[in-house]
Amino acid sequence: MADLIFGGGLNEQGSTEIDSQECIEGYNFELSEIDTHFRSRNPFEKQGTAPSVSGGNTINGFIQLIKQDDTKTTLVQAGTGIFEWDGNSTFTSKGNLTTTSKLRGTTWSLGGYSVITDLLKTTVVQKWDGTSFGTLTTGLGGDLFAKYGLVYQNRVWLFNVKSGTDTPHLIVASAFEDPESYNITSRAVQGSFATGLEAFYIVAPNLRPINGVAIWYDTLIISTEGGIIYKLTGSDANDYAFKSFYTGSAATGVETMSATGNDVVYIRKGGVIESLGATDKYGDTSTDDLSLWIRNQTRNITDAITVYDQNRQKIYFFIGSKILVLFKNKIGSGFSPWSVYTTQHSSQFTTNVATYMRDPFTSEDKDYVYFGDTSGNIYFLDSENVSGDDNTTDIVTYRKSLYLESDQIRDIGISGRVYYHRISNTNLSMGFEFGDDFTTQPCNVPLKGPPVTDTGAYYGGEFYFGGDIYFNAGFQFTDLIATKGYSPSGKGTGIHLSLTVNSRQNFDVIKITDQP
Amino acid sequence: MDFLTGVNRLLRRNNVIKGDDDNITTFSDNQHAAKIELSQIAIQDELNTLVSDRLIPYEKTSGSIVTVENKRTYELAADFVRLFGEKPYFYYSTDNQQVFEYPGGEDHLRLAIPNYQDMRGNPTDWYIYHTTTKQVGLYQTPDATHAGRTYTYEYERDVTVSVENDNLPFHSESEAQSFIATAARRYQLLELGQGDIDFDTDAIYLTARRRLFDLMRFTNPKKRWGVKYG
Repeated sequence: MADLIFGGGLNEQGSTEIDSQECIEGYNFELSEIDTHFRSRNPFEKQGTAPSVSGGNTINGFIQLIKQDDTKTTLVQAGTGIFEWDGNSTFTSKGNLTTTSKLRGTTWSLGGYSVITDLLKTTVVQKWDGTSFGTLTTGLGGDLFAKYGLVYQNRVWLFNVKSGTDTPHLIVASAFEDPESYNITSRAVQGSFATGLEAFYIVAPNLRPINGVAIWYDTLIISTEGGIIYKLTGSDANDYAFKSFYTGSAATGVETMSATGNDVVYIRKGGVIESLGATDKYGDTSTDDLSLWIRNQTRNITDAITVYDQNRQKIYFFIGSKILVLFKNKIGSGFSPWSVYTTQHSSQFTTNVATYMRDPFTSEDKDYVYFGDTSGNIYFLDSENVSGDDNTTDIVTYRKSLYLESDQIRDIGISGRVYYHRISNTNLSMGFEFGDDFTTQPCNVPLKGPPVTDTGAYYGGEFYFGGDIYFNAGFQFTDLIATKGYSPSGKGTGIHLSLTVNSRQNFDVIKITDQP
Repeated sequence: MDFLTGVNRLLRRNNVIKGDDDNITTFSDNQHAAKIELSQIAIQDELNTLVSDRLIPYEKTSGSIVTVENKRTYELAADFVRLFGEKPYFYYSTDNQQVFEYPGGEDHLRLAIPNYQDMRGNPTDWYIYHTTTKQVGLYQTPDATHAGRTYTYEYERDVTVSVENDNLPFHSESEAQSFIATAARRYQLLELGQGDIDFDTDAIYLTARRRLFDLMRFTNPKKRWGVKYG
């Protein structure tokens, strides 16, 4: 057995398609582009709890406005209440919705406000200017509802709209640099436009409901339900048109399509996560199937909230009781780029909204993925401030290797050493599932933390961050490598090696060898 | 040195416990389960070899039986292995009486005295009574006059170690440490799957064993050998 390192993620394919750096089962482990260690994801942290209004305080939406002067304000939709949130404990009411909605915002930077749409299309298009929340002026005679919105070519585009009659296949585009002027009677190309800068509407060519929008390399992409992916061509109202981009499939669900920097990803029917970039480059091949490695996890997914964390180069798919995590910088590494986040915390990662936005509280430019629960609690992922999920709950980090074979395992058994960094006192539970033996031999390896005398009080406080010493490697052992032996009972033709850490503490296992 | 300490010493000698590893605190510690099992076997095998080969001081102890009217056979101590000495006996101190083994044992006794089981009186001989436990029979079977007497005997006890706090049967730490050195070599060979070799041909093992024997002697070992002339 070669040294076991952890450069790859979850791979549920056949054993011949799996590398020893990957795992056949696993969750809550993190992947890195700079090393191949086994470590846990960071915990999520609760940053605030929205007040309850009639109808409860389920977190349904976040809208963040960052103006050109870099000032930011953040709205939270809790139940039907709209609150301006300071990122801590202050929630200032900015209004109430009349019906249940799921509000989403897009920033009109030129005007310094957000245009707010509703995934449920029960609240008319709204506007938030950093001070007041109210109905957006549209220039139309009636109410305008829209499911999605984005800014493209100096216009606000609203997709899957309703103005009187529900027209889920219809898109309205504002007048050039005027998001408060719309037109639902002049159709692109066919209408009469003096300059081409006027407002207009346009429809999805297959007349099916639009269920995903994104901008990819300056191209507007839409997905239609059970239909086709289209791209927008043209430059003004006289020649805007949708052309087929990919006729093979389209997104499923409501929020599965998301721009991810250099790509657009979406989940198609059957639960396959597709890369638009690969489709564009290679056509309808397995290359565009990002979920090739985790088909069991994604099978039959019908909806998800897809969020791209640009800072950490991760794409999250909130699918209910867990999050599928795609590490973008591992795509093309030859290894599976996937992990799965689960939690023992009561939130269970079940949410109505997840979005990547700037920390509303701090003046620093820190961005996180935020999500909320049904009790008004607002959390963000990848916290480095707390110990365990919500500072209360252990994280179970687990991965199981493919079948590892060697003459030594067959004839003598297996023993070796665990190389790790001393970060905290945690217990690494190794499970050796020997072939032909049908039992899993346990082997608990206690990983040590910093020495008792090393409190690492180097940030001016009594302890690092002033609380528990939860990720203090101390001074003495920083960057030093420690080893622990292991030697379970049993032998067999080979082993599946499972590694589990159930802890609120961080850990960092460098490698596992079968050498003494 | 107890068994647990011995196992830890053996594991350290063989580089199993090293680096950031702590000593094991129980044999059920599963971090080193396979090595712990093997080291226990090595120590127990080595101890068995030692005590079967010769008498070590820790083995010798004494026990007693108390005669009961019309009771012919008596259980020996639970840790009894064999009686001490070339001509072992049971001793009744009140009468300064030694009771020796009937020559030839029960097999000869039953030929010479067919009704030996029914003879009552003062026990004058003992014999090994073969059954599922270690027992002796007395000839004659004690009668009422000779009941209630306490006979002491010296014997070699079982010094096998099995649980963590069992003491290794040595007088000094240096003896115990030298013993672990022999067990450590046995462990190495067991781990290599060579546990069945003739250990008397292994120089490392023999060196460690000689050191142990030198330490166990009550007098200084000889330093020179050969014929002295003149």
